[in-house]
Amino acid sequence: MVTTERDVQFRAYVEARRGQLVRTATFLAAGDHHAAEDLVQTALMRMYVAWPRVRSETVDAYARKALVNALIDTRRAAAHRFEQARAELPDIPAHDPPATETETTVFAALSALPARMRAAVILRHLCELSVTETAEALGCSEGTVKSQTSRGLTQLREALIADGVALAAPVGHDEPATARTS
Amino acid sequence: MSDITDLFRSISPDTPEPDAATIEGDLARGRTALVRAHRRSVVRRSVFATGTLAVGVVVAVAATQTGGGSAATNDAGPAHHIKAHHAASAVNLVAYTGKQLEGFTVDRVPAGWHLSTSTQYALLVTANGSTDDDPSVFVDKLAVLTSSADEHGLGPGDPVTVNGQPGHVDNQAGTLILRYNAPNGFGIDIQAPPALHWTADQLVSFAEGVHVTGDAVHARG
Repeated sequence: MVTTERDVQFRAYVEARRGQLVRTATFLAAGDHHAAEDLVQTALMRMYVAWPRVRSETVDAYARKALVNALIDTRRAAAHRFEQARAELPDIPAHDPPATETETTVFAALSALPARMRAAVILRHLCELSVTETAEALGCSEGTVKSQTSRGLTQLREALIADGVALAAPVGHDEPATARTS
Repeated sequence: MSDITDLFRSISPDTPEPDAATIEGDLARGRTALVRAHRRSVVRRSVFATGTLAVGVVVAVAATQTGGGSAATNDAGPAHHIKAHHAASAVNLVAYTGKQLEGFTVDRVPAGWHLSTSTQYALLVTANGSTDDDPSVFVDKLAVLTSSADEHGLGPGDPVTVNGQPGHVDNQAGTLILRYNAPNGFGIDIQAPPALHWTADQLVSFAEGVHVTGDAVHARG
């Protein structure tokens, strides 16, 4: 197999950044490690195809956008499956890392959020992106990011408190609850 | 930092460095997707053009990969970044003396390959023995296509010179894609399949023997 400049650069990027992408994807997938791996693989595959058009200074932003798009696409494709009744609970793979009680609670609360709202919360409060950067990743307006994040945080806090997770007083990043949607 | 950020960080999973197999898996999936994307775009363009104005020329020449023949390997520009697959197994170019088809004439073809079919926007060259003469299928064929009139730019790839005109050669998982501007104003794409084991220079050498004739037209799509 011929090795191209694209291959060399892509391999270096994957080596340096894959772990970070898996971390973000794990939250986007609400703790489902297999779904997270699928998101990362899909995002990286799309990045390889687009590699000549990806600028080095924005490659991380491109990766985050690809992850979010993969999440949205996956949700669309699998939507019908979520509505299928099952007689038995699905098997849980034995090699998944055991989740702590806090992890289980947080990821359950995240999974209750709509995909885009969850992504907004994660990009703002895990990746600590600015509103502008988050809007770019989600392909929406900054007002929508603020609105989605505000609602997401409210729902998340309510769920966590109801499940007994102690939260410090909210400071800093919270979005104004009156943010305009657009 | 918010309370939620603190909470997320406290449960953030450890993410070890990816191992070599994982990285190679990502690379392999990317290469496969790239080939699929390219084939889709080429076939889409061909189907569209066939279904509308039928203007352009496709010529595919498939070769038996037996090698041999008298190669006419010009030194045609740099393309140093595109590495040869296996020079020893590359299918050499030989002078073409057979019947020319609509839209293009060629001076050289890969040894053991022949002009298969053409339209006004594409010429396909296939290996002797190939029974696939479908003008809308480019898999395993050497394809010469005119670009759409509204399609500008040379696309990704390493710079080369074709008959004094600038071009780019991109290696997409073993398939070489050359895009350049012919002197008569046509943008030309030439796709060389992995079976030829060509270098960029060999592809440029073939391209320098391709001439767009008066009955060729711009592809549409």
